[in-house]
Amino acid sequence: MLTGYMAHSLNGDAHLTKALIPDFPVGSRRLTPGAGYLKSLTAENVELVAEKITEVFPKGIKLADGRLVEVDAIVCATGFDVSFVPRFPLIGEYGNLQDIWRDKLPAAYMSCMVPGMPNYFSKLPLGVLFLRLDQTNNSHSIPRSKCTYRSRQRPNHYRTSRQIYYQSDPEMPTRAHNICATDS
Amino acid sequence: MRPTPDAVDDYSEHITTFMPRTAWSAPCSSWFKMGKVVGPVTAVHPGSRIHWFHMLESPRWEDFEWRREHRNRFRYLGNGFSTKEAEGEDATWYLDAPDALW
Repeated sequence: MLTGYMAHSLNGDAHLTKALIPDFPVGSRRLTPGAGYLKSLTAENVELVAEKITEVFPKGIKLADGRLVEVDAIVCATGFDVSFVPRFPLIGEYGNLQDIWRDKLPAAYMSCMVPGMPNYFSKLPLGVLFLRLDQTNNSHSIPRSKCTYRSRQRPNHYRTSRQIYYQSDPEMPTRAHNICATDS
Repeated sequence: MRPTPDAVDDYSEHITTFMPRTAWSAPCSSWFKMGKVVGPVTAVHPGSRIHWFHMLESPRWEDFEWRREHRNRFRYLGNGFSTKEAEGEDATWYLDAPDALW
């Protein structure tokens, strides 16, 4: 069905369909949703070049088949860092997360915590694993708010004691008041 | 608080077992597999979107190690009163709303 849709959008052009319709299963890479994107490639003033680039020269680009393409500007879109290595040092119980995740398969807990990183809750864009970008919403914040709430207030009986307050310790009323505010 | 190493291992093992049956594992370079053509799927949740919501709805507290700020875990019980009994609060809310806990 998608192959048919793509071929139709590309006006059945043999060159375009060969270059653009993939041979791997749907979903193994994210779909390109852009409405009108494929259609735009069929416009008269657009040319899709799938040949490899061997050289950039002052007037343009040289292709593997020897052809020279003269251009005014070159925009590089050659990829990006798709690893989960944090962009800055993050030192935990097992060392720097940059080193750990660069050397080993990244591991995390339920897309929100990292082993050896107490009280570190992750969300986009730092070292978030197993999180689908298109699904980020408030639901993802629920366990985190529960966790921070719980770890800040007291480690036990999150549900049974949230209305308790007052303590001879002067610091407690304020903290206990937060408990109620959190749950309102 | 921190997740225990065996909880993280179990979660990773489940993902490793689950992912090969999905289209994400098919051979094509993608960020699902850290940019590799063939490799372990690391970037997505092992399941559907709604499945993921359900997973996160109920934290598994037993998977965490806790370090307390104070020695006695029941310190928060304080002087034994509830905020419902503070001035201006409704201490008998349950008469009007018997199903409401708080």
